[in-house]
Amino acid sequence: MNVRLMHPDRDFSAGLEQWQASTAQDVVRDLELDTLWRAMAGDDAFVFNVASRALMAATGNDVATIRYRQAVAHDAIRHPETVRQLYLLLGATLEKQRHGFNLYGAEPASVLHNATGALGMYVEALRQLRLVARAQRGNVSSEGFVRLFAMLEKELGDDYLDGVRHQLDALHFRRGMLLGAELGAGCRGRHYTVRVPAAEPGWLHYLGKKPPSCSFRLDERDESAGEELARIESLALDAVADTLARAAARVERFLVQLRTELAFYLGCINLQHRLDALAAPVCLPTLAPTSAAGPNASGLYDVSLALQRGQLPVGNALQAGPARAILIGGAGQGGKTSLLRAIGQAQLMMQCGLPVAADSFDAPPVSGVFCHFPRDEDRDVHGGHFDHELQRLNAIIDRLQPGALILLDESLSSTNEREGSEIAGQVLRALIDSGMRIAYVTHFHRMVADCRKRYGERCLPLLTRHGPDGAPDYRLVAGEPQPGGEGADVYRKVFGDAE
Amino acid sequence: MKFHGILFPSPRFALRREAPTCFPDLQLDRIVDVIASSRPQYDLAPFFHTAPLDAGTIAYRQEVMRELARPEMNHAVRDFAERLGTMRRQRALADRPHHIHEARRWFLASAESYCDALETLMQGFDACPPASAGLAGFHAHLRDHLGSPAYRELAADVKQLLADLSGVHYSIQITEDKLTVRPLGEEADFGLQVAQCFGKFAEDEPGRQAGRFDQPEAMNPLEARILDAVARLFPEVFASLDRFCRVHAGYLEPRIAAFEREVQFYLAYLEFMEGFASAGLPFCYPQLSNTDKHEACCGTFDAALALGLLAEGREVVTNDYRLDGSERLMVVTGVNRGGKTAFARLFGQLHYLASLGCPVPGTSARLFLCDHVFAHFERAQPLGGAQGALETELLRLRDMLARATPASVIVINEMFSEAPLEDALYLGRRVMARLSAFDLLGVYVTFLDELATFDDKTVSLVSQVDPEDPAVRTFKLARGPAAGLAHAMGLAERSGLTYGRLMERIGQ
Repeated sequence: MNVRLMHPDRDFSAGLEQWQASTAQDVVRDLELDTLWRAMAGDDAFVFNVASRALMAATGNDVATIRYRQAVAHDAIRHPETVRQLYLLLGATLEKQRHGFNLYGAEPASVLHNATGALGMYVEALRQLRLVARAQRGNVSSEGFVRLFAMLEKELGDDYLDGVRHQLDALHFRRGMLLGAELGAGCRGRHYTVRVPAAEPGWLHYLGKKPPSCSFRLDERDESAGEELARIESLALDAVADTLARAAARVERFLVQLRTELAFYLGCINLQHRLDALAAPVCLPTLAPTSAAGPNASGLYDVSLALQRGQLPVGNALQAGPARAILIGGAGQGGKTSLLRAIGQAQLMMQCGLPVAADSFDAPPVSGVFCHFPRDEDRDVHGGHFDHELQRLNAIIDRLQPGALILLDESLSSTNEREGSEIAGQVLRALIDSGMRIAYVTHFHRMVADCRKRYGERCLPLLTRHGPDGAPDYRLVAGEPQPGGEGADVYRKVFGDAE
Repeated sequence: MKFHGILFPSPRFALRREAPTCFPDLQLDRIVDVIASSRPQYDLAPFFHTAPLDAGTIAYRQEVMRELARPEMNHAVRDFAERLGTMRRQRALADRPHHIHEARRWFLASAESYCDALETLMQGFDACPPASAGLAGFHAHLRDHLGSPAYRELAADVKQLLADLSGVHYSIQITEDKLTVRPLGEEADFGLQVAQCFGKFAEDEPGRQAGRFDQPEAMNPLEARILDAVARLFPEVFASLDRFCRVHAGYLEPRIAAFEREVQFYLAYLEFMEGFASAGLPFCYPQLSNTDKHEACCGTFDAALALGLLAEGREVVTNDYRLDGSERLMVVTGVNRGGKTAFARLFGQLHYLASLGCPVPGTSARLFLCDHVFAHFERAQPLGGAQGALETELLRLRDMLARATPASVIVINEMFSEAPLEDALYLGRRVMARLSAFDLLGVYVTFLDELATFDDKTVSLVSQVDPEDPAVRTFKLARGPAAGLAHAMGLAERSGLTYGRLMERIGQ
């Protein structure tokens, strides 16, 4: 019994190990993923946890998984009530179990008792799951939901569930227990098993010969006899208790897993609703082949910014075409860092199977996402700000796999422009030549020019735009940064028209 | 020739319970104790006390020992002994006060183990037939026994009864305080039902740790009542069990029982030797002669001493010796604690163990087969005894010599050391004369250097020291004239304790 709503071939299992690396923590911070996750989770810590794990594992997903998830997410978004209903049902069941029973006592009798209780609750939950599945069967079209509902229908039919209930009832042994045994060493009893009593004898039985039997009563004050009887019963129940404990554990695992994967889609639904409320566009991204460059997008915006501000920021169009390196320049607060973030966020969301914050988004999958944004620590560190920057860059280099996406925001600018530009140029060329994708916010105009000259189309320079009053437009256009044009303007502004 | 026993091919020898008098001095008591206490239930000591044996028996034993040293034979016989050990444990359980059926069931189990042991050994022998007279004899005896009507009946009854008992299936219905026992009918296995119902869930899940269910030692009164009920419900089976115990009470064939015990003599000794072999100290099968007193031994050592040394991780020094021509008695002199007493002991041990038919310490040994080993070691004298110390010692010696024959071996470790030197020398020479008259083989450790050149039967051996440092003993003995006072003087010189040096030092 598998859930398989997030992968076509297995249950979702990504853990927190990917958080270990400092590079991962940088990504969370620089792309402001916390905001995204909070929007997905609302105030449900469980959903937050699942959403964050899923997003951090996004670059590990293959194309089949991404498409699979997109389909399931599509169904989820169209039927949010169903998803919510199932999620809450599972939560309630599992919560009761946590407060109720301990599945692993030592004595078979108590294990049996606990497992029977747990299974009773779980079976009821499964029955309700199946009812929902039956009701919604016609409404879903994704492979994931179709398969899940069919499985529930098939494995948990009414007959089966009735049989289970009957069996669980018998396990209370309300009418006493029947044991079977053999003679072992020294004629002591062994191989105790529990037996099913034969049907009640009919009236014919009293006509014919009764099978021989030998009865005796136990003195209720005889403690040692009572203990011995309990021991024998335990021996007999051991195998049964084991089976039940395993069954209960397995069902519980299934229910927990289902809740986990539904949590993800609940997050998806919540995000969709939050963005719809802002009238912010959300689209189903398309996966380009790995060899293609990209991304190509329209109306792309920083989703965390939108969620924080409660309003839709200006979207950007991006036609990377064959470009592997997107170099973003221009004056002041023109939305450069925002665009960088938006690219990173969209990439991760796409690979996670989520819809993306844009009108359209088309990009190939990447092997990993890395961020190198400015840090205050670069200024404080005694060893030299530049050293710290280089350290962080090295940490990224160490973890790079071919086909990764690296987002750099004014990297290597904590030293003078000549030095910074030279080193940055080398880094950039190395990254491009080794097949990485780069988006780099930088004011090193010479480096951009060299890059353009060397790589032609494979390098796309973008510039911020400003209106006549100097206010930024937030739409970036293709164009190379001008060498220090600002200086003359500023001088003129301050000193008037004196040379 | 009909098989009599694996230790004694014929009924000639009576088993001796007490140890021979030479044992403590030669530390053979310690050796036998180590060997016998490795398997105390077989009471092996008397076998080691019954010596000397004749050449025929010795050859018989050596042949068996060699065969049992081979891995497959060793393994098969050990396995046999273990199974019989199980049989004995089960019999012991049957003899304890128990519920009657419980006791009988254990008796049946012991019979089953017995049959199992015999048949397994037979298979082992058939696959790899023994060649030694002893084991081949036992093989034939075993075959006869297994073919006998009595055994065949036993084996068949065991099989039948085991089958009958394993067919006893009963049910216990427990309702509040009432238990009802019945023969088990067609009632289905509840566990199976549960497994079928929940099977699809339980499949891949790892099981919880299985409960620890130690069966309490004694049968509980409740179990007893249930068993009584079962016996009443299956009267024929339990009657058969009862009959079996009566009819087959004496199933254990005496010669097989004797073999079980006696073969441990070999197995224990082989294990004993193994302890030394792994330290590079081999044993060997001695060549023996009733008539020829020429002897030669290489790489030999005092086994009792070696046990202690090996336990402390210390080195064991081996020695060689020869007795050619008219040589009979080795007089051993030299520094104290230089290995003289050890040599005396090993001489005694060699002859005794050889006369038991056992291998002896060393890489090769040619020995005279003696009729008795006498040991006379110095005793601590009680103060103010009624007789004088010297007289007591001489009386002991006289008793010993009265029993000695020309075929005996004697080991003397220090005599007359309490006496004044002239008396000791006089007595010593008289004793040597008697020993020579008997042509006795032996070792005499003494401080009387003069005895080392008594007659042509005397060989002088001296305990050696390191030529570089006379304070260091090598524990080797070599032929040579007794060193007299030379060694003592050398030591004194080195320590500045000669007269001359003392005069120089004291005056200062």
